[in-house]
Amino acid sequence: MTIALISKRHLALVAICVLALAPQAFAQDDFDTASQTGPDPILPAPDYLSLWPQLKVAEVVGWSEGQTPTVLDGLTISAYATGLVNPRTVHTLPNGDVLVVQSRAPEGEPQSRPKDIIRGWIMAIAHGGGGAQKESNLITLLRDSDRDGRVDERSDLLTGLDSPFGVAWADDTLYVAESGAVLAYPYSLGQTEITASPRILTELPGGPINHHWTKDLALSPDGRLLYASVGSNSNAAENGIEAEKRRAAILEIDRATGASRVFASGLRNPNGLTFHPETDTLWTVVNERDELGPNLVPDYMTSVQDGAFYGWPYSYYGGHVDRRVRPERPDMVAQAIPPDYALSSHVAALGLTFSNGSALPADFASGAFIGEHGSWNRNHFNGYKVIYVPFEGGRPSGKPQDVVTGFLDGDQARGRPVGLGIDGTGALLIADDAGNTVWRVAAADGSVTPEPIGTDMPAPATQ
Amino acid sequence: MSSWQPTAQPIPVRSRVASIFEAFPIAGFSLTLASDIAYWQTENLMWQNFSSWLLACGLAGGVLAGLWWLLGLMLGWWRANWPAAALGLAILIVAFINSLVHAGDGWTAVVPWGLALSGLTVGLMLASALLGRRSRY
Repeated sequence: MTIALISKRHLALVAICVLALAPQAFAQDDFDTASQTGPDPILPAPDYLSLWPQLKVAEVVGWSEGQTPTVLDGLTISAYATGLVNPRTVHTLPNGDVLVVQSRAPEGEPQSRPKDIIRGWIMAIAHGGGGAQKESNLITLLRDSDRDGRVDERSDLLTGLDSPFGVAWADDTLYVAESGAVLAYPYSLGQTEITASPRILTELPGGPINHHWTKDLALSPDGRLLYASVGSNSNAAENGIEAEKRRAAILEIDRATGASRVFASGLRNPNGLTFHPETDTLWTVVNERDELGPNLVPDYMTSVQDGAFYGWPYSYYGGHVDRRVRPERPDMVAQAIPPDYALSSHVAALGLTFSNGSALPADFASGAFIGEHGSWNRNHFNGYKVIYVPFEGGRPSGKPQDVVTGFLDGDQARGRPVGLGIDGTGALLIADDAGNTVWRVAAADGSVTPEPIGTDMPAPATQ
Repeated sequence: MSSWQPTAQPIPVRSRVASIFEAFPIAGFSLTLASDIAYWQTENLMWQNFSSWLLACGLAGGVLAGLWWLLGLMLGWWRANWPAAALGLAILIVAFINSLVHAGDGWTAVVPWGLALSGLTVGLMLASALLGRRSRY
């Protein structure tokens, strides 16, 4: 796309040509996105030749004083912490302290094509860029000492990190997944600062491209292993398959030695790694590929099987071949397994947490909350909300329900939800990166759990 | 003092500038066809990136050439050769659409439509050359 290089006169002429060629794109405008949620989504034919990319970027305006997202009846929402700088994930320690990981994309992704320059400019709008930016890349500790749902103490635990995202805690060690490594800091519960320098547990695939840079982290239920998500280095392998080594994958890391292996692959951009508290199965939400049309490819939530391949880049939802990718690999397509539960296209699901053991109302007793950061590459917004998917026997068992909305105001975004967690009182926390806020969604009747449950600690069996 | 070469006249700077601008689309769009063929044959994405930049450079030069031509038209440096100008504009439009096609990812951004449009652009440039007159891209 060389928009900047062409005169308006030409642009007008070309626009006419493009409009004439694009009836298919407009016909998809009344597509029912709900038909793409659940185990068996409707997948329209891919559009490999969309000349004019569909774009609708929400300008970030932020929240005004007292303004909050909207929640369902029986719930109440309040700002848990404000004035943060791009909060991406929240993590509750076993003593109830909450870590908020704030992060910005690493700089210096090489620009290989004219398109990359234009894409970077669009993404800057979607992330509320412009003007002098406050220092991000830090982890802030929030302490609610009296467990009343309000933060009483706040301190910056670590600063100057390299685009951190996931954290985990075990054996007096805080693990931080930066954009290129898992770091291990000595850290005892209750500490409000860390001065010790970290050791590198394991290097992760990093820059200079590091296209999908967010590395999430989960601790295995037995506490022995860590799981790190590593997103792909491209949309559909357009940087070459050699740039995708150990990417679009979930790595399993031995906490004792740092040795790692690919646990599952073909997951384009996995985040929200969480073990299901009843089945001890690893679950993730995945951002699927773009530029096949506004209603392809649906993002999804899936359980992750050891050694499984989920298709990227060669195919999606099992055997749906992506013809953009060469050399072709029919052998890999044959192996690809479809994911468990589609979330509809371009919602950008980034956060996942299970509600089991929380203090939320019975309607949300056993299921998954999913944070949808929101679309920018279709004509109608999709996502920009937190949804709930009920589970039964450790499997999704129904349609998703919108739980937290109101992040959009017309064509502007007040905030965008990313990572989710359950705080030390059993309420849902939402990291809102564009709104620089962590929201707390609690039962309206004021219920709290008898004691804190850490993110890494399996919840007690159903109560 | 008469010259031994009766037609030799100093080429005005404005015409030389026009030639410089015109060189970009001629070289850029021709090489785009070559690099598209290379990608088609090798599946090496480097060639697709080359094509995208070649198209961008050709378009930049072409737009500058067009603007220079318009400026000259207004200042009376030259008179309009409308068929050639229309052909030049057509080349730019096809090349622009081609750059949108090339902005896709991977194989389908080149094969078959990117490659076809690259061929069409070169064909139009050849037609423009055969028109025998100075065309402005």
